[in-house]
Amino acid sequence: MLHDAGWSRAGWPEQAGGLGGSATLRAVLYDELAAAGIEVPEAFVILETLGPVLTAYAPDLAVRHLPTYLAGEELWGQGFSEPEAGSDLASLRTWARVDGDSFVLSGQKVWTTLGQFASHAAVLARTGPPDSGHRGLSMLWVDLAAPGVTVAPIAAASGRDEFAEMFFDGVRVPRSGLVGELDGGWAVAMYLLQYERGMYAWLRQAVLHRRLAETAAAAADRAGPVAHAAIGAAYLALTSLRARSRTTVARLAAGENPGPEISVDKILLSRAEQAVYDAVLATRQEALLVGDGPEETALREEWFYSRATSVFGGAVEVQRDIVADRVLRLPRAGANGERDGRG
Amino acid sequence: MDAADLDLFAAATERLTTMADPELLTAELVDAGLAPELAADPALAGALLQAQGRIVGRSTLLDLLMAGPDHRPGLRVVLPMPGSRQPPGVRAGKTVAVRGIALSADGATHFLVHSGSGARVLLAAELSVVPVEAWDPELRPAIVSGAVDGGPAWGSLARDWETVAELAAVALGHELLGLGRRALEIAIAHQSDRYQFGRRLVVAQSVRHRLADVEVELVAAEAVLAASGNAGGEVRAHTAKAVAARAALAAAAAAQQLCGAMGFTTEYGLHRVVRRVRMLDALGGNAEELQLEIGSLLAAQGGLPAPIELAEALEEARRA
Repeated sequence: MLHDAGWSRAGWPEQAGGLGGSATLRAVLYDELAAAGIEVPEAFVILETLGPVLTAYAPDLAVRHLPTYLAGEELWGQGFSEPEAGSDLASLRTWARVDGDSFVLSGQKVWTTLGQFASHAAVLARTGPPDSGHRGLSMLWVDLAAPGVTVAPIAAASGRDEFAEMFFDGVRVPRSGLVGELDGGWAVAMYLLQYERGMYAWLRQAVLHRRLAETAAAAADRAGPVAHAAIGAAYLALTSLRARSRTTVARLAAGENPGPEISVDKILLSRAEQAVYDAVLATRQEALLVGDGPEETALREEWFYSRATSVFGGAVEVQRDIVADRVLRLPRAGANGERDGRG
Repeated sequence: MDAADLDLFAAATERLTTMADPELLTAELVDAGLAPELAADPALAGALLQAQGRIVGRSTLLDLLMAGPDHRPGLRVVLPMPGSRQPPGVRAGKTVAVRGIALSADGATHFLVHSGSGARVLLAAELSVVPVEAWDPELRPAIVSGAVDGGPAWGSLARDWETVAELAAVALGHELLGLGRRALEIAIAHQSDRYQFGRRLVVAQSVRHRLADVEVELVAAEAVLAASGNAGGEVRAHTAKAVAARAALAAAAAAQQLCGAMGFTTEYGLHRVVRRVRMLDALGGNAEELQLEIGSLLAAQGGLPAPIELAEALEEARRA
């Protein structure tokens, strides 16, 4: 419906099935949907991370796949994390070798959101030597129906199959599936993270505003001071996120690169997610703890999701390192900090 | 006013608010004809107050902002006692009874007293003005009390306490942000200069994470204050102050911990920041009280007020 009316296509390039215009049109859309009390479809979350990557780094793939995604006919997954590479993404081991005019991909990816329903995945794989770190990685666009791909859902703590693991055994990926440069995958991943911490955070704050408004309504007649304090705390965290995120979204839309400061947004997002669902739980204990209806089940799943927000997309501990190293520029060990004659 | 102008004003504020006379800054602003601009451009008042906080200075700028057109040299605004958010005055017929505190009370000739139903300028000589040292003696606070009959010395009667209190909350938020920035600078300087176990203290990840968390809170406060303008309603004003106060409290607590024993000496001066943060936090409701108040208000309303606008940020980015 959003597609046919044109809403979901605003702010995406015309040649890729969109209606053109600045990315801020998308920001406005998410805000308006939430304000009108309409759930923002979960597929938009994935779209906001992978959509900008395809448009920027693989325009041909964007032309082919964005229209079908916007029409709701495709779903994509993100293949970044591995069993042995989470926040330390550059240590990943899934590898792809060039063979004629295609790549041959082998390895394992994990925590792909809704991966079991995905038709395609953006997979970060090593194309350089094993010790090439972040310099030897490439981003590949993989058809999950190709021979050699196995996708298995993972039962999440919430009780729902939220994510999946993907196994690649000699999967052939055509050369046209390369997103960005060969061995240039790190830049693509970093670009994606900008959107994940920018537009995605904005989308989530819109959703969280709606949840907190519902919680305030639920608190009107039956909640005590503990719930009120939790709602107040959530409102402060959420307002902080929105105030910060709106400047980031504006900078992204103006073509600026927010740089390491965007780690602040990611931390504020985690805090807001958790504060809002703390308030939901404080206000609606009965519903969440002993309610089996569909609404209660959904809220429970969302509560668990809020706990994961400080883990996925680069754990909060890593974001703190980035803020300390690259925003505050605190002196590091070894720079001239250690054993320089004063110890 | 653009960013370069604001920086110039902030630099002048840093100079003027460290001088003995608390009226220097306001006098210069008024003489330069900037009082109307100050009322119209919240970014200007915010920049000046942040600078004042950063230098742990004092001035009568808050009095100027709260009194607006009723401001004159020698006038101070009576604030609610710490722990209270009620207007400091109570009017009964022609009599105004007051109990509250005034800052920079040295040199005050008149007090502006708000009650629930208006405000009146009263002569200092007709009130009991008891200077106190207490928590933050550098602010030169005094407890102002008494009951006065008769008309005002000057100024309008029709003033809305809620509006003035919201304006004050945002103003205090800006000053708290400046104080928080100062506390973080002090903590970083100490941690970077001091060596233990043969290395700088700041290389420890526990320290770096604590400092990073403070930075995150300060950045959030900056964003919320920038979006709050001249308040925009009770919830938004209280949110701006509460977010800024929490950031400043976190910064002060981190600095007190991370400066070690040095931080507890008079000479080091950190206590001045700690005192000022707690004092300003308490004025008009502290962060904890405001947070609970906001939650209760939202529950009573059964929803949230209109969120911060996206449009103005987009305009700003386009201009830049």
